[in-house]
Amino acid sequence: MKKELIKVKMADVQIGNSPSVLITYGLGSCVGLTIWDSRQKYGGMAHIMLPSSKGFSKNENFAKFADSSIEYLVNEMLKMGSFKKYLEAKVFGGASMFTFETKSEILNIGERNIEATFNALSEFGIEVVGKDVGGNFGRTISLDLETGKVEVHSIKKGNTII
Amino acid sequence: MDRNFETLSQIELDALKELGSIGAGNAATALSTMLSKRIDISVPEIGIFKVEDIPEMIGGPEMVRVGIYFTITGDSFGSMLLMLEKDEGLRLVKMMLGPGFKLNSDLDLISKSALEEIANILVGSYLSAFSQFAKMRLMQSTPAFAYDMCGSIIDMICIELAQRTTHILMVKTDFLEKDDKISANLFFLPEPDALVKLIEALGVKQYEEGTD
Repeated sequence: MKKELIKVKMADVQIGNSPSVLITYGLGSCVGLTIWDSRQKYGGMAHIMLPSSKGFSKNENFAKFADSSIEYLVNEMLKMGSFKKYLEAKVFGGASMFTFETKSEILNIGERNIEATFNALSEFGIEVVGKDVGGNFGRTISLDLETGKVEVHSIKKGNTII
Repeated sequence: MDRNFETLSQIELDALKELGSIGAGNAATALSTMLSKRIDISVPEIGIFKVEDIPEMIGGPEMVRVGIYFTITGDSFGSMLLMLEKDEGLRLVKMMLGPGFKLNSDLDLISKSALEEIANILVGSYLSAFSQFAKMRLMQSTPAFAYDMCGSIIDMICIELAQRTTHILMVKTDFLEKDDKISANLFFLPEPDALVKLIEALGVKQYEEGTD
């Protein structure tokens, strides 16, 4: 049986139920975050671009930022009856796709996104049970909502399951 | 002022096409001179698009592409990104280096350097055309190379832009030598003011020249 594929675009958050698969393509410096409810077998995925929503207008797409998208995702899942102790988070991406001689704020964005994601998850009390972050290569990730496993595809490392 | 780039006037569109031809002409001259053989460059398409549309325009975010990236500084700020398929890239290197040159089927150091140099010349040519028209001084950085899923390549640039601008200038570029044609996409991702200034300067220039 072919599982339904739910695509998560850049600066987007989606929630899905088993037996669907949540997928997002081409994570570079962006962070892909998954939270899976091991008890109710459903979960969400966020494709995050920037670390913090501070300093941006309220009209900005909340899903662009680590802090606001994680706040949204956790709150939605709590509303849907999840308990934090059954929520498993996994973090992917945050790479440095290009290397330059001089480092700048923008070029460190991958690291800053990773850090902001871990901080926000910690703030909300969600445990991180897996990750594949950093490096200098792109990743596509898919979360199987039935098993909670994430398949990571990159052209450098092939396929790994986290 | 928030300019709606999706509705350019005919004057502006024509000026943009002319800009593309001038840039292409500069690049063709430079490459032909450097290689002592005739290279033609044509611009089959030039237009303004939303940043998030780029991955779909080149086949989808998971398509693997060569990406060569430059930051632009000077009177304005932004980036230039040249994207093409690996096989097209290798054919381009072969076109430049000649039939006597034995090429790997993979991107080795020589092919990467050759592609960076070609990109350097191409971007420099377009920039000098833009600079002239918009009366701005624009300089490019040294090139940075990536070969990966195009969504990941665009990703970092989108982040940069997410804080500023929403639109990019896309210049489809074909390299032609005799019967051989190689296609690439050149994306100019400017800070908001730069694109507005450019379009306005183009509109004024056409007006001054009395074309309509």
